[in-house]
Amino acid sequence: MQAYNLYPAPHPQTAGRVIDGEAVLLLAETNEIQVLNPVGSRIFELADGQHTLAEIASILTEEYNVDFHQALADVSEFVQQLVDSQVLVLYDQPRTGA
Amino acid sequence: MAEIPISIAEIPVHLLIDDGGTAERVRQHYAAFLDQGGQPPALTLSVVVRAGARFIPIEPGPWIMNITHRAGRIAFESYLEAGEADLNKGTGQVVMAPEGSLENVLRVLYAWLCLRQGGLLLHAAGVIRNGKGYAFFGPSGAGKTTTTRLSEGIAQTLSDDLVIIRCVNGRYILYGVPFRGEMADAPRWNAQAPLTGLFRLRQAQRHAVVPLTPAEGVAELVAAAPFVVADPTAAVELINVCSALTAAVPVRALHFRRDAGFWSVIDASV
Repeated sequence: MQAYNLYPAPHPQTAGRVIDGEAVLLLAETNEIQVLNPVGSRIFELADGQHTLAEIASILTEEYNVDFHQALADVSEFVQQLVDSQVLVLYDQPRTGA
Repeated sequence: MAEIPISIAEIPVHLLIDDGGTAERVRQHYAAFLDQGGQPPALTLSVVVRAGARFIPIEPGPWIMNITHRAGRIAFESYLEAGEADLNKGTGQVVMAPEGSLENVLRVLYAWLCLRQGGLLLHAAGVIRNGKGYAFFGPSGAGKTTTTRLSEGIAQTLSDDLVIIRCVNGRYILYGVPFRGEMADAPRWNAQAPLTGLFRLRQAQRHAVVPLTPAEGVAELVAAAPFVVADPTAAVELINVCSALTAAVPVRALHFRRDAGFWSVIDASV
């Protein structure tokens, strides 16, 4: 399966909430607290287990008036960073109830 | 068995202590926080004093208390004290050595009791000035004791280390606590005031009040909530409580140098 068709969703051990367009994350593994910038926060918001990476990139393309391929590359890189830090998990199927 | 009812931030806890000498020390230590109101306790804690009790080895380094929490049940273990509490049932027990202290046990339990009631035990200095409550928070070394000392004669000190903030009847209230920081001999006032200012301390060359975004404010508060921040099961609740607090009383950064002039920028900002 292409990585672009994977569904990112919050890691079960990480708490996060978007407040006024910025995401506050409390990472369980490291006990670290992060605040994402507005674009990162929007990606985190869309990473609900219902959107693929390609769908998230498509939404950002419209919202930020950027090139789709560039958006897809940026989303993929950013999501991978969040996966590496256990903020998100990638699934090959949509998450019910996510 | 001595029963000692205390109330911190209007949250009553009854201590049942099986040793007369320990009970008297506890009664004196918490004299300003003895509960006169007769409210039913949020927690009744049985305390068994046992000579020679040791739970984890005493070694050089930072103070340690191992804490586990699951669905309202808290187990804790330090050098001379260990026990558990079920906050759902409102009961708990502690076994401690005669030379042990309930202080750290109560810090942990009150951190959880506050969170369950939509409040926070916050690693902060707290003062009351002109009837208004101000909390200055940040990690060790941020300047909590410094700002407290610089406020002497200007404001009433609640604590240089820990305060409690709770929402009562739609208003956030700043409460003093009996827990001691660096200013070990400072009086601990059982006082409260409406929370007016919530400042993340930053040492600087000049005084300034700098706004933070709501998310930054929440992140700073979450980081300053001892004990509960380390528990993944509390993370969502902690973020929600801090989010509600910052919506009512915005968190700002107080850039300050070592003189009391920071009060002039605070007064201008509130």
